[in-house]
Amino acid sequence: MDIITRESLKRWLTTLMDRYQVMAPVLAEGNHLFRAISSTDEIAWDYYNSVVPPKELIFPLTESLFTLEYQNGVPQIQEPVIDRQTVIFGLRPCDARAIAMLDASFMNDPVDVPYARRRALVTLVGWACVRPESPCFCVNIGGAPNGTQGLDVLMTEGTDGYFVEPVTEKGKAVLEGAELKHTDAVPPEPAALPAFSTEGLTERLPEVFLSPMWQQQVEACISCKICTFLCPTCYCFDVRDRRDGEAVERMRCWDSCQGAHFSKIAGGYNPRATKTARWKQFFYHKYLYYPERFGGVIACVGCARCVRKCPVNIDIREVIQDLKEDISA
Amino acid sequence: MTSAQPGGNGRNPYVPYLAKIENTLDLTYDVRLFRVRLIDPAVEEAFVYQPGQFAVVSAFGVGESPFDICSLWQPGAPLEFAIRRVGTVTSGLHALEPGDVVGVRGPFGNWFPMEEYRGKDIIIIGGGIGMAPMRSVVNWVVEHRADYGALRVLNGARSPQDLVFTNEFDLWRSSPNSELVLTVDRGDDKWKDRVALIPAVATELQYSPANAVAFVCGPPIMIKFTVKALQGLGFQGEQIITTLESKMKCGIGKCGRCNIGQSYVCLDGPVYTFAQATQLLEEL
Repeated sequence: MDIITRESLKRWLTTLMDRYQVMAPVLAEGNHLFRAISSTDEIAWDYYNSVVPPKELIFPLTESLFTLEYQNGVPQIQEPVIDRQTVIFGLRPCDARAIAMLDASFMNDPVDVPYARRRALVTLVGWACVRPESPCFCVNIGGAPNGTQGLDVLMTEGTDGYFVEPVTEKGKAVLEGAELKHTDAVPPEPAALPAFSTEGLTERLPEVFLSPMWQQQVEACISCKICTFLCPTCYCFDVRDRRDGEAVERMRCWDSCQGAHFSKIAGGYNPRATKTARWKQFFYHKYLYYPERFGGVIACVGCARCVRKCPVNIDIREVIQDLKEDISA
Repeated sequence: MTSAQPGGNGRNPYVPYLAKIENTLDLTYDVRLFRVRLIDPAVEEAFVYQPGQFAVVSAFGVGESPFDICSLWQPGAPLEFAIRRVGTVTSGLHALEPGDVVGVRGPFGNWFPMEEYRGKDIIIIGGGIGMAPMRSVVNWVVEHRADYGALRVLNGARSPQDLVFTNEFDLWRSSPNSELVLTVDRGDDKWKDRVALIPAVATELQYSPANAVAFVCGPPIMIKFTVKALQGLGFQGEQIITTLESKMKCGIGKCGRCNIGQSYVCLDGPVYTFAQATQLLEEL
């Protein structure tokens, strides 16, 4: 395998900045977030994971779909230009795997063109998690702290620098010019995470749809939507118009199935009028509906952002455990 | 069972085609029929749709919402939408005038498989604005009259003032072997027809399930009880066709709003047999 020293890595990233916009984890107002950098000094080398997943760089929190202006009374539509080659540096394998899951939906016919345009311009250079900690549970849900799915390059921090593993052709291309050295050493194994099994979960879900446990689980929920807002595999969005005089901009922004009005139609009918119904939609979409539609893959990567940030301590790992007990009961 | 959109692959599906409101017709005090023409002739030519398909219509600066295309496709004919003023976007659309420009995305979704039902008796039950998608089925059968058996239409609304497409009733009645029954929840001095809920009328009319297919569209509660009435008459789940009403934003199965079970109503629907719909509604 190849290895690169921290100093060479910084030089390589600095060179990349001529051709690419480089996004990396930085400390911004007390939170680790992915932002465009102009110097490697900005990188939070010791970060654990970003508060907001790096999906926001491909599927922005808010983006313009088009603008419309009137010229001599005739409306003219202008689409935003998306042409910036971008390297996302330092994302975690769970978040890269989540991007692969977003790809399945957005790139599926009919293709979501704004997403596809951005996605094609992005190269993902990931960092393995050498010291993952609970509540992270990637290993229990099909991932690994050093997994390569969705990544173009995987780097793993060792004592003498970073081990470099190109995963795709795009990854090999971005590494051109990097001062890599061959080594016989092997990357360190990630620390073990607490074990629990999610096996058979998807298959069993249809049987427990009417179980009273769903209501019990969300009794404390205050519908703050943070679980969906920070989830790297959530991709629901809203579409709205913004008007400035005669000019119109159509925007889309992230939205959440946990909001009371998410499925409410004009006239007032709300097919998911209860917190329980909305909570089931969240859980079933990730663990049953998405897998049914996209090749059996569970749309959860075990990043545990929802566990860490839930203000009322709802823990999806406990939900999974409840479910298994309820099934066996 | 979805059709290709004009423009094909690579075109941004969120960018609407521009269309001009040719004229409008007030169907009731709050439902207006919009006839709109796609401005680009190439788009208009490629915009081929089937009964039951929908389009997402924009009032620019206000927003966009999905609406059934209630006209039958014909080369060069405008698209028709029967739009009830009930929310933000519909109010924005009602504020527009003939000559104003709207956005249209589509055609989206699946459709009523009318070819499959050739030779059958066609029962059409529409409640309120739910008559909009039913109108294209009625007019399809009227246009292809020899291909189908009896045409029995049951159109209900809250009040006589809420009945839509009253201007087409004579055309429907005069079609051979056709029946049109009207009912309202609450009549007035001038109302001479039935005052009864749709499910009760359906039972009273004793629709026969033999070689028949029933289309039902309306508010969720009306669909629920009408389907029960039809089942009481012996209709099987596959003989009852309905459209599911769902909040939609994107129209192309991405935004997540219309997701029920593994189905996206905008992609896999909005037309379902009741057998399919029952399975989905259990997931709510």
